[in-house]
Amino acid sequence: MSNTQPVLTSSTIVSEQDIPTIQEHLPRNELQDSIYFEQEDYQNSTIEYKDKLKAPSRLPLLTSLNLLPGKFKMLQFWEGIISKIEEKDVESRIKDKTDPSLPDELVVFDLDEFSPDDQLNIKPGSVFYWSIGYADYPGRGRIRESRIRLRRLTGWSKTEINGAISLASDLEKLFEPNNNDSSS
Amino acid sequence: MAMPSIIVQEANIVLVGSFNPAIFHPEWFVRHSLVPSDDLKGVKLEIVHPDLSKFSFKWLSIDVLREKFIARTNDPASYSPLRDLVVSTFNILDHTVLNQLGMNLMLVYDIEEESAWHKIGDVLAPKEIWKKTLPDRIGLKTLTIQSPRQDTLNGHIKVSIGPSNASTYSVRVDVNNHVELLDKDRNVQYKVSEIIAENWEKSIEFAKNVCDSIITGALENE
Repeated sequence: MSNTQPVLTSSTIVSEQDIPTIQEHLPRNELQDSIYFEQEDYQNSTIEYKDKLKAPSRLPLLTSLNLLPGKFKMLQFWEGIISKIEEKDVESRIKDKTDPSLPDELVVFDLDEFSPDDQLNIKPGSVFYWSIGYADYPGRGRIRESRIRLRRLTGWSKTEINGAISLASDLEKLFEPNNNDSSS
Repeated sequence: MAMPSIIVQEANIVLVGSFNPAIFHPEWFVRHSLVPSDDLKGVKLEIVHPDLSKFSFKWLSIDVLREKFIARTNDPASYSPLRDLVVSTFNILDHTVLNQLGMNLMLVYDIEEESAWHKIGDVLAPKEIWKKTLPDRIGLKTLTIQSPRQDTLNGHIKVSIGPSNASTYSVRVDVNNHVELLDKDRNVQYKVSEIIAENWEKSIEFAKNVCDSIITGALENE
């Protein structure tokens, strides 16, 4: 450290402009955060963070997360889109999200694989998530579990809109009267 | 050494802005069809108040303060539903003022062997300089490294690593994928639902790679 740099002590107030910035190192003023875990240290430490003394609202939050009564070790995860529903058969195209290099597959599920609540909302075009893994529940040993959950999303994402526009454009070209491409 | 197993994991979305905590109630999410009504059976409602709302479904926890919204899950099968819920929530609450977004992942690895556990700390934070003034046992508590984002969004990647209590010799890695939603230089206000929809999967995959790479890099260091 150079002798000319200011020394920070608990009684020294230095404005952000006074703090030298060293190239390739973080500037001191990048203190904003979109994380929360720092407060665990704050609660358990005897360090005084002057700027945090004003924040009683931050204190009672965010204990360790313990939602499931055990652990789910995911083995494979697919995202599917329902193409057809015939009585109890739900025909879908699924994409392997664990290994995206694998091709899409066509599968038929029994309607009862979906939760009663989701069954009410199923229709062609609905998107769902399918995961298979090991569920370790304390005292019950390991269970191989298959879970399906319908996607609940308001509106369309930009990617989906762009995808639909692109598909429509491809189809338009395919059906042009003078299109001789028979490969598709 | 084989890649250590992951014994605890959590993904979360943090929004910094201006919120009305009192509207965030489990029934609100059901009324807008963002979660099935069946989810209400497992709900744990701690508080809904103008200053703070805190509750959890079996697969997701939500905490809302006036300045922060946090949704998190420890179930890897629910990472996509978590994204959908946050995207849909802020599509509905379209006029909420939002300044910052964090798409974060936390992984805890079980290192099993004490020597390997110490090695991770020694490689990431060499002790020579500390030993001169702190001669007794010294150890890494928390190390945080920050780097600017590599995409076109304004923000940074912040990685923190330290010991965990999840097992005798475990290491916790937190990756904070931070986005500034108001780009003052370009005078652009990004729409949070679009940013999350486009970047969530990429962020989680990137964070997982960062965590794996730090752990293997430290363990394989000669």
